[in-house]
This record gives sequence, structure tokens and C-alpha cells, in this order.
Amino acid sequence: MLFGKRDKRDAFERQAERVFPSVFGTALRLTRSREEAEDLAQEATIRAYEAFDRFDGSNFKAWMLRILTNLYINKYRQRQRGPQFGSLDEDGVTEPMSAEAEVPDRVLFDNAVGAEIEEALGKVPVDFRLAVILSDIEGMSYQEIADATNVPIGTVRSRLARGRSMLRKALEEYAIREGYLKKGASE
Amino acid sequence: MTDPLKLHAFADDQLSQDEKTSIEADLAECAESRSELDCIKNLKALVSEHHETHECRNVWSDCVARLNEIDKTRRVEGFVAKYAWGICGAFAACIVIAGVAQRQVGSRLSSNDLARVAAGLAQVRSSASPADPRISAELGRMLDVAKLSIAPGRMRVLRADRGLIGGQIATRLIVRDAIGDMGLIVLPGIASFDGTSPLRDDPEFSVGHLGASNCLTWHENGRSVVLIGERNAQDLRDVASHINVQ
Repeated sequence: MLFGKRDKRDAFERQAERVFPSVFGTALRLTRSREEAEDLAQEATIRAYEAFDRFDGSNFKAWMLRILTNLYINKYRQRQRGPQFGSLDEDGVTEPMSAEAEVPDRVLFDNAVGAEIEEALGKVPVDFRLAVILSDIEGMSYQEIADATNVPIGTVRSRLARGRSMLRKALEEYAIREGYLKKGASE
Repeated sequence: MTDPLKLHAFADDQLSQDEKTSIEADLAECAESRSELDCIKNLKALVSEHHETHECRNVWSDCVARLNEIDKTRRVEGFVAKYAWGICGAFAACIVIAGVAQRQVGSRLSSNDLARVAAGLAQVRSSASPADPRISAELGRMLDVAKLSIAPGRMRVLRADRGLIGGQIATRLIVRDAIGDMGLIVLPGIASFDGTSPLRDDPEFSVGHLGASNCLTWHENGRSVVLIGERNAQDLRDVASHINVQ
């Protein structure tokens, strides 16, 4: 055993505390409920601590997010009722984002702040949202996302492309609603 | 136009060097692809830089509290697992010590136990006829061995049974006086008898019932005596005053 029990706890706590904002943020973006996110983040942390002996020492954040994602997929999503419409045709043809929006990014993004981005992200179906969160917010590689979500890399690529496309569309709707962009400007 | 999936992967820096070179060549020739790539990069930068950060110090504190609980549980489990034999041994030792202490302080006997003890004694001698001097002498010796003396003019021994309880001699006598027959049991050590209560006027003696008969119990010279007869407690107490345990 490399660590004493106290050393193991200290090593885990040091690393877990550093990545916990990412863990909690991801939990919140997945569940969209603070209460559920607290439960999910706590449970993921406890499971990570119990499995810390099996951590290979490479990328702690990716490992924690993998535990969190698997926990969410296995447990929390089972509770959700109704069809997961976002995943029905995830391997379909991905349209280019620029073709659907002739809107200059400056117009679209200059007025967007954190809350609007989070709101738009929340409108993206969960599988696609997860890919965008792990890639663009948490900075994980495609391989790490594939490991975390238990899907092939090809599926990660298509989910990411479609997720970003949906996110852009949601941001456009926000811009139109708030008056930053006139309706029909993107058509 | 370049495959959008490849453009996303290019923007994410997830392509091999050969793929990158190929995409860069496409981008140099295709304005539409460049526009798409810019769009992807802008969105990626927007999400990456402007997403909200969420306050989670309280949640982390709760996590630490739960980790502390887990550690505490593990410590207890570890201690129990490590010293299980020791703990079992200590319990066993406690049971043995308590048993020995109970034996030294005195045992409790229920009426069933008393009957069982009495039934386990072997008959030594009985005499239907008090006239036989040989048998009377033998019963007299029994009383000597049992270190018992009874007032000879008041009652006589009809039968004597004897056995060992805990390595010490226990004796049961059937005695007769002017009123009738009684049982007298002398047990080694100090025993208390369930279902008996102290006599109001003489708390050294306890009275109770054994089957249809009354019984009187007392302790004398480190032994316990039970007198059983179909008469009231005061009569039994009077008889007891004529019995001496040495």
C-alpha cells in the first residue's frame, strides 16, 4: 500500500477540492436542479474516495467527471420519464452552423452573459449537452469524453457538432427574444 | 465544404498531424469552411469563457463531513476486524468471571431446580420402624456426616438421601414429628430461592411454596436449608428452631 490511511485521505481531499467546482458545475448543468446536483456531486465524490485505490494517477479531473457522468447516466437518468428525443438521431447528418446563421457572431455573442449561456445550454438535449460541457467547459479530450460517457469517439464527435449547433440556435432565439437581433435576420 | 465533424475536431485540436495538414489545405481554398470554423471557434470560446461559476463551498463542506463519517466507520470496522478474537475472548472471559463470581456469591434456585437437585440424591437408608436400633444408629451417623442435629425428643429421621453438588455433600431427610412428615434439604453453599419472601418477624428466614406444601428456607454456617411441610410458616419456623446446622 503506497499511502497510509491519513495520507490517502489527504491526497484525495487535496485533489478533489481542486476539481470540485468542475464536478459540481457539471452536475448542475446535467440535472438543472441545485438539490439534485448537490446529491449527485456528493455521491460522485464519495464513490471516487472509495475507489481512490484504483485511480491510475493520470488525470484526476477526468476520472472524477467520468464517475459523475456514469453515476448520472446510471442512476439519475433512470428517474427521468418521457423520451430522450435528443438521442434518437444523434448519428444523423450534421449541418454546418454558419449556413443556418448569417448572423455575425459579434451581434449574437456580445450581449450574451453567463446566465444566458447556461439557459441556452439547458435547452440542448442532455447527451449533446454533456458532450459540449465536457469539451468546451471542462476541456476534456474526445477520448476522455468517450470514456466518461461510454460511447465511441465517433459518437462524441457527432454529439459535439450537433450540440454546438443546437446551442447556437438557442442563443439566436435568446438574442431575438431580448431584442439584440431582429426576427428573420438569420433567415 | 470540409466535413463539419472534422472542422469541429480541428477546432478542438483532436486531429492527427496528417489530418490537420489536410484540413488546413481545404481551409486555404474554401471560404465557407473558414466561416464555419470561425463560427465553431467563437461559440467554443463563448462557452468556455463566459459560462457561470457556481458557489459550492457548502456542498464541499458537506462532502468533507461525509468523508469524515466514512473514515470513522472504516476505523471502527478496522478495529473490530483486527481485534475480533480479542473482543470475543474478553466477552468469554467476562462470562466465565461472572459465572465464577455468581458461584462464589451464591446461586439462585427455582422450585424446579430444587426438585431436580433433590431427585439426584441417592437414598442411603430409610427406616419405617424406629424400634430397629441398628438402623436408627445408621441414620444418626448420617446426621453426623451432614453436620446436622435435630432435637431427638421432638422428631426423628425416617429416611436419608445423600449426594454431591459441586463436590460438596447435599443431604435430604424425611423427618417426622407429632404433627406429620416433613422434608429437610441441606445444600452446600449459599443459595437463594426464587419465589420466596422473608418472614415478616424473622427476615433471616424466607417462606414460599413448593408444590402444594409450604417451605421455609434459611442459611446457616455457609449452607442453605429448606424445610418443606404441609403446615403453616410459623409452624415450620418452630420446627426450624430445633434444627441445628453445624
